[in-house]
Amino acid sequence: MNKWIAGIAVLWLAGCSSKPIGLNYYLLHEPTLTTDAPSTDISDQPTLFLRSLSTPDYLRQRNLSLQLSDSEIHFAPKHVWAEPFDRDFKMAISESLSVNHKMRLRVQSRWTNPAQPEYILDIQLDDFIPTYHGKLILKGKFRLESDGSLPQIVQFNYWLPLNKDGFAFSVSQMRLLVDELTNDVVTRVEASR
Amino acid sequence: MTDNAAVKPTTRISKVWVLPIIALLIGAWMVYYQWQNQGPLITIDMSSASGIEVNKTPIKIRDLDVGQVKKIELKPELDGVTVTARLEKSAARLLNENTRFWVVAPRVSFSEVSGLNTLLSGSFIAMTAETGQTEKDHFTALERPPVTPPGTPGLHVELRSDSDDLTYKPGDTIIYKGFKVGEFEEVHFDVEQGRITYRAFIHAPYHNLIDENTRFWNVSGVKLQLASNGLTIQTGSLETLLANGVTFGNPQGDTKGKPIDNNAKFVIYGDYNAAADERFRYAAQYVLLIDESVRGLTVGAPVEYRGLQIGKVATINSSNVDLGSLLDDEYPIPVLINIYPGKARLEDSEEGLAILRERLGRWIRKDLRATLRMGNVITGGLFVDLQHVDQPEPASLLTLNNANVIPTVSSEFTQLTQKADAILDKINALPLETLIADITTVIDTLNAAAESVNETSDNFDETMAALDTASLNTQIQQSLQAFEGLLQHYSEGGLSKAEIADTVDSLQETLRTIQPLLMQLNKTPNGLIFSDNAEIDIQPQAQEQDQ
Repeated sequence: MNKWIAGIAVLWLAGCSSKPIGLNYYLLHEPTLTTDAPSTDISDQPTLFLRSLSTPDYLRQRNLSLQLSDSEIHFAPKHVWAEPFDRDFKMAISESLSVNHKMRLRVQSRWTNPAQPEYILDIQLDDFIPTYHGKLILKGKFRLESDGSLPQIVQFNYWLPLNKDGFAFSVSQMRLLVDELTNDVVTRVEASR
Repeated sequence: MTDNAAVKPTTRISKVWVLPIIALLIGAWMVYYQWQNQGPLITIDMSSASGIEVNKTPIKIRDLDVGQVKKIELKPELDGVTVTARLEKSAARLLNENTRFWVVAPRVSFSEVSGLNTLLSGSFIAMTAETGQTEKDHFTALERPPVTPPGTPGLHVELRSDSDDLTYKPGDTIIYKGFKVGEFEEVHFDVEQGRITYRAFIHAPYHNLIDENTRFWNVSGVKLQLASNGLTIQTGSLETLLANGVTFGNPQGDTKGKPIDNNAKFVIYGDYNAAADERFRYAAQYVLLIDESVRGLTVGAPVEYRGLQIGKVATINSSNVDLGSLLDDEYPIPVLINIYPGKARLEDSEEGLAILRERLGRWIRKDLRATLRMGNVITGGLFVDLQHVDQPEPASLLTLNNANVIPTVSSEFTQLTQKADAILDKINALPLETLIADITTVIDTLNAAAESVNETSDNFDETMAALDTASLNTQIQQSLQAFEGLLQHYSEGGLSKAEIADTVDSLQETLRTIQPLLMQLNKTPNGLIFSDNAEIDIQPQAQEQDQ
């Protein structure tokens, strides 16, 4: 009798068990985007000091987000960032500046070079999300400050159409919008020299 | 024995009568001699016979006996006594119209002590030794001894007081630079003119100090003068301190005059300033019409220009100036002032007076105004200050009772008084009683607070006294050692700041990660066991081509 009861319990628990959820992890920065040289002395490169980065709360979640309507947002349960978004965004900007503009992004105080001029950058991200219109938008403000000049406060509003479905394509488009943001910043840095 | 006696008739005068006859002749000679050598018999009228005795009281000239009282009888009019005295023959030639008699008796007064030698010897009648033209045998005695001994070299003067307050009596002294140089001898009251005149004597050689410009002024007692120019104390000699007295001199700036004759007349002034002012003979009179109170302004108060006295107040509210009644609205009080050309460094003459009037008249039309100012805070004495004011109201030269009018401006003291009155009114309007009650309450509260603080302080002292300082120091030292060990551990291998920040970040990230799970569990509590694997995977959609 006891054997029967044990067998029924095993079958019951087997029936109640669920299969594991399949998660997809994404990186905003691109690890493969590097220069050819194994190592490069970037001491002489102009430096941008990212003094602060503020992001909306939905970007601080591990789940990727998607705007479903004017007032509804959706956190994808199976699509998550591989690391915190703030750190990933800073690395994406750093890579974009280094590869595309030969500039160095400093996020910590110890990485200074007093011999080189330095620009101070503050970024406030208001929105960075794929919308239900099939667009990817990046909105916010940045403040650029250099020694001896008045600070510039710039409001940006970039967007790209989504030509394909899925978060993978959306993340790749996000990298392009990050490039567009760095291009804007560098253009203003060079204009202020 | 029959011798018979021869009887002869006694025809001869007995020799026994010789002696009586000789005695009679000697007596007759003596009577004749006495009659021939006795002095004259005189009568002296006196007010009383005090201290005089018949056949005892002598008559003396310069303390030499020259006669004796022989009889005293009451006068028929009963207003005195008649003393009959016999003088020596040698003194007969001294009996004339200039002879004076008086009784010498003990006499004590403020100004003199005399006749003390008569306390033991008794009173006597003194007489002067004056020469005269007419023989006389009836005299009237003086009431008191003459102040100046007859024949004393010097000068008699006649003095008149300009004030009813100044009265002197015979014997009062006349001093000069502290020396007694003369005395008052007689006092006469002129009933018709209502004033007192004095006959005084100045001893030689001091009478040479007196000329026609000499002024006499009072130095009686101690003179305290609280006037607008402050407190002034004046005293003469010790004698004048106890009794009355006068002094004399030529005021500063006055020239020496001509010598005077005997019995020259002088006026006694109240003080030196009054006497000095009298040397200015010319003065211009002006009228001030004062709209405010003149309390503190006195006759004789100085009139100043730029701080120098050039005149004085003559009269206040003179009845000679008819401006209506004091009870009328806006009645100005007329104040008459004298301004002396001599004091304004002009010539004391008609020419100087004309220059003064012309100059002041021009200034009055321009900007000269009179103000009553307080000269002394203690006495409140006022004086008249003539000053040039800025932007005065236009004024013309008015004349009132033949005296020009100097316009006046309100005094600073009046303005100050008005402001003070306003402030006092405000102070009176303050709710002082309520304020004092509130202050009392606050003070009580403060006292209670102070007592509480004292009590707290006492408790704190007790606590500090009960505190085991040594044990506390030991504990603090142990705590510091433990903290030092913690810091050492922290620096050697403990969590660094960056590690703590990473840990906190990881914790926040973990919380964010499980937040959707928690939300799902909140939505479907059995979701962990009965998960819905058939959930739709929503992903971004590509933009439609037709959009």
